Formats: sequence, structure tokens, C-alpha cells
Amino acid sequence: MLAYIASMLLLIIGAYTLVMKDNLIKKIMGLSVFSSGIHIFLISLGYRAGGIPPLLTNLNFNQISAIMVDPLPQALVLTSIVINLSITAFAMAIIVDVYREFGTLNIKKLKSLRG
Amino acid sequence: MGDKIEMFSFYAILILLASAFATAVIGIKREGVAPYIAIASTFTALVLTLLTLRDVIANRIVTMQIGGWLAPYGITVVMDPLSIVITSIVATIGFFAALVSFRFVEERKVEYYTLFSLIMVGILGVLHAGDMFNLFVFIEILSIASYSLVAYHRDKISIEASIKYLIMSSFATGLILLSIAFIYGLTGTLNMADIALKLGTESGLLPIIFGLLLTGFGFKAALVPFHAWKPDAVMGAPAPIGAIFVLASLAGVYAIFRMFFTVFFITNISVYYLIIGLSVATMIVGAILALQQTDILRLLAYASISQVGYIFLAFGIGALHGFGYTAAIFHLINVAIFDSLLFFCAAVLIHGAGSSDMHKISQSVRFSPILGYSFMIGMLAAVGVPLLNGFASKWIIYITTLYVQPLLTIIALLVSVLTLAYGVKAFYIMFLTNSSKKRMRIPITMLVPILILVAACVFLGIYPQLGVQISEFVVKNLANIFYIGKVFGI
Repeated sequence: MLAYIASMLLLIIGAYTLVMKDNLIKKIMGLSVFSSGIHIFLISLGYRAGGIPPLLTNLNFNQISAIMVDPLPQALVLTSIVINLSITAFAMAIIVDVYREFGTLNIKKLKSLRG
Repeated sequence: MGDKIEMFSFYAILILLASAFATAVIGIKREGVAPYIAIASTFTALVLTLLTLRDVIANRIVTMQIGGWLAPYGITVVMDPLSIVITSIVATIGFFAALVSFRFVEERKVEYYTLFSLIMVGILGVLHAGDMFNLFVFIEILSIASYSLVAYHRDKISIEASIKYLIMSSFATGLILLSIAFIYGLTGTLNMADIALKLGTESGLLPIIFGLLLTGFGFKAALVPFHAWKPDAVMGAPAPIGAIFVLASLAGVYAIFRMFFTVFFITNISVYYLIIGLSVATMIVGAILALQQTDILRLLAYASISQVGYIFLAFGIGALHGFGYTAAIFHLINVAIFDSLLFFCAAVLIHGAGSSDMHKISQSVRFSPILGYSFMIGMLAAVGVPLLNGFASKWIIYITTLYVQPLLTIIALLVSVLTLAYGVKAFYIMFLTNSSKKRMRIPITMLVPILILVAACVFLGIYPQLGVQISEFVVKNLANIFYIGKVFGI
């Protein structure tokens, strides 16, 4: 239960930062926090107390499928963490360029695109 | 079950992925090789896709269990008529976009073609995915490659477009991931066929899940409350990528169709009213904003938003009138054809003028009239003038909406008039008031794709039965019972 509350808090904090803050760095931080909230949610959905590793063969499938830990959410979260890392790295690189071109990190002052 | 059929189109993804790496590795030393790798790999992808198209026409649904693990546990890739029709279009337009880029991209070819191949991998992967996990991963590949491609020019416009697109789009994919987490919590599986079996219709979480998915994929498809990224991104990216963004939108449309038909099989009529409402907003807002543009890429981006609205209008009507789905699929095919034709024409103009502002184009460069006629045919097809492909599908949309709610027909007709207005405006500024003395020839690699697409517009216009037959074939096999049965090998 605690994990769900924590993930909800992270989701709310992340979404709030992402939407309300004007600074680009803070927006990216909000995005990271938001994704972490989703990751914790997914991982805690896949948690099974006392589960065993999913080492499947054709022989033991029926016995262990009831007590094994499903590796699916862990694989998904691991993939998503890597994706988020690359997005954050790319965003930081672009933010450097934004500062070089515009001299500011405030998203409301980026106004070359209108309409 | 008959004998096993090899799914060739899946290898197209692998070839494009390999070519992305090959471009990056070989291109460091020999930059000139990059476009040839891209053209060769997209052509191979096209051939492989057409082989699978033949198999799907014969067998309706082709599946492949990767690594031999059976359905709910392993990775399944599925090609049913809906996905193979869109895949064939994507592969064709992708090949044409590689040809058009050949002369368009003159510097930093390695970056361009690596990212180009990765975007194609993302779109094709979304169309192949048989589970939510792969759908998510390929959507992320598509998104990350397109963020970097939007920033390609490294000037003010493309950098601003890229960072805004990144923030909005990453939030949207976050919502998709959240909905996947909910789906996993409810069913304990991510295989689409398995979800469709295990997901009851009574859970109170379903509206939340569906709302999150509609927001996330609606963002990718550029439905109206979530459309703001598209004109910026299209304007920031090199012009041939505009056509690829149309395909990326269609991948979002496909994902929504897949959720509707296969995973959730929604029968609640109010969801369709929601879709109709969103689509009407999309059509009107896209067309009105397109009217104000002076930049050809932004104008075409808004035009494609408006056309996606037509697809969703037909789709929303589909629950109330059976022909709606047919119209949606047919219009989707046509949108891909004429929108990419328009973007390729714009690419020729921008290649000559060095700017995407319509007034600057008209002052700085003049091409042979073939380009003007091709642009006009593309625009008239988008308006829905008889004897062109847009007319055939829009006619079905008008008729079906007339049966359901005449007000929608009036709106659809009015938006067509608006489409004519901005089409005439763009044509007038760029071709009729052209004051330039500088004459340029259209490069042959750009001319051939444009002429083929023009021929496709005219052919589907005077012979619409072909398009209707394709769409009917798709609609007949939409019921998820076939899909589920084939995935589990029943």
C-alpha cells in the first residue's frame, strides 16, 4: 500500500512540476519524477511476497507458474528507465543549445514559433 | 492450422535497424554512402512488406512467435489486414521519402539517414506489435528519433520546436506507460489478444485506462487538444520528414483503432460520440489555423491535422453506420497518398528556395509547370474534387454522416471549402504570382516519387472500387475473435 501512495505522490509532484514550472530544467526534472512514479507503480504491481525466480522449463511449468515472480513488469520498467535516461540526456543537450540561442531557460520566452 | 508462414515484413524492421547502425558506422568515414544505404534498405523493406501483403490477402492473419515461445509468454508479432494495409503504405512512402531526401539533404547526411531509418523502424514496429510492451518501446524509438530529427537544423526554430515537442510528447508516452501499468494490474498480461480475453467489461478502471490511452495515442495522431506539437515539429524538421510525420500520425491512428477493435472491443456508444466530438474539433481547428499560415510547412502540417480529423469522423460514425469504418480506412489510405505528395512538392520548392516561407519561395525560384500541376492535384485531392482519390473517400463520409446526423455532413462540407481556400491561397502565392527569374529543374529523384503519387491520386479517383475493396477487406476482418484465435493458434 505504501508503494502505491508513494507512486501517486510522485506522479502528482512530477505532473505539477512539468505543467506549472517555466524553467526547462525543472520541467525535465518533473518528467523524470513522473516517470519514476510510473515505474514504482508498475514494480509494486508485479511484487509477489515469497515468489521464486521464473526459471521455466517445459517440465516444471505447471508447478512454478503459480508461485514465480512475473518478470514482465521488471523487464518493462528496466526498458523504460533506459528510455528515460536517453530522453533526459537528449533533453539536456537540447537545453544547452536553447540557452546558447535564446539566452534563457524560460519556456515562455521561447517565441519564435507562433500560430 | 495450416503450415507455418514466414512473416517477411518483420525482417523489414530488422533490416532498417541494421541500416541505421550501418549508416552511423560506415558514414563516419564515407558520408556519401549514407543515402544509398537508406534507399536500398527502404526498398528492401518495401519488397518484404509486399510479400507479406500477398500472404495476408491469402491467409487473412499472419503471426510469428519470436524465439518459438508460445503466445502469452513470448513476443508475438501479428499482421492482420488493418496493419498490413497501413504497413504497405508506410513502406512505400518511406521509400519515396528516402528518394526525395537524396538531393534534399546535402550536409550531415549521417545523422539524417540514421535517424530517418530509426523513425521508420519505430513506425513499422508499432504496426507489427502484438503486445503493449513492444508497442510502447517502438513508440519511444519513433519519438526519440523524431525529437532529434526536429532539432536537425540547430537554428532557433528547430531547437525550440524540438524541446517543446520533447516535453509534451514524453508526457504523452508517460501516460501510455501508466495505462499499460493499469492494464497489467487488471489482467496480469500485456499480450493484446490475452488482454482482450481477460479484460472484463465491468471494471471501473476501464474509463481511466481508455482515457489515458486515447490521450497518449491521440497525441501521437495529433488530435485537436493535443495537436500543438505537429506544426512546430514539421517546421523544424527537414521537409521530406513532413511526410514521415504524416505516417507517424497514422501510426497513432492505427494504435487507437487497434485499442478499439482488438483490445477493448468497445461497444459503449458514448465513446464514439466523444470521438466524433474530437474529430469535428480537429477538422475545424486544423483548417482554420491552416488558413492563417504563410509558411508552407506549417500550412501543410495543419492541413494534415484537419485530414486526420476526417479519418476520426468516419471512424466515430462507424459504430452508428457500418460504412463509416470503410470510409475511415479508405480515407486513411488517401490521406497518406496526397499529404505526402504535398510535402514532397514542398520539399522541391524549399530545396530550390532555401526557405519555407511562401512569399520568399515565390520570389526566389521557379520550377517547371509539372510541379505546379502536381501540387494542385494534391491540394484538390485533399479538398475532395471528383475524379481524385480524396473525393471517393470523402463522398462515403458525406453519405454516411447524412444518414446519422446531417449537421456533421454540413461541417464536413464546410471544412472542405476551407481546405479549398487555403489550397488556393498556397497555390496562388507560390505558383501564380511567381516573380522569379531563376529557373531550376526538378531533380529526377524528387520528380519520380511525385509523379507516382499523382498517378495514384488519379487512379484511385477514377477507379475507387479498388480502394473500397481494400477497405472492405480490412473491415471484414476487424473482429478481434479472428485475431485472438490466430495468436493462440486455435
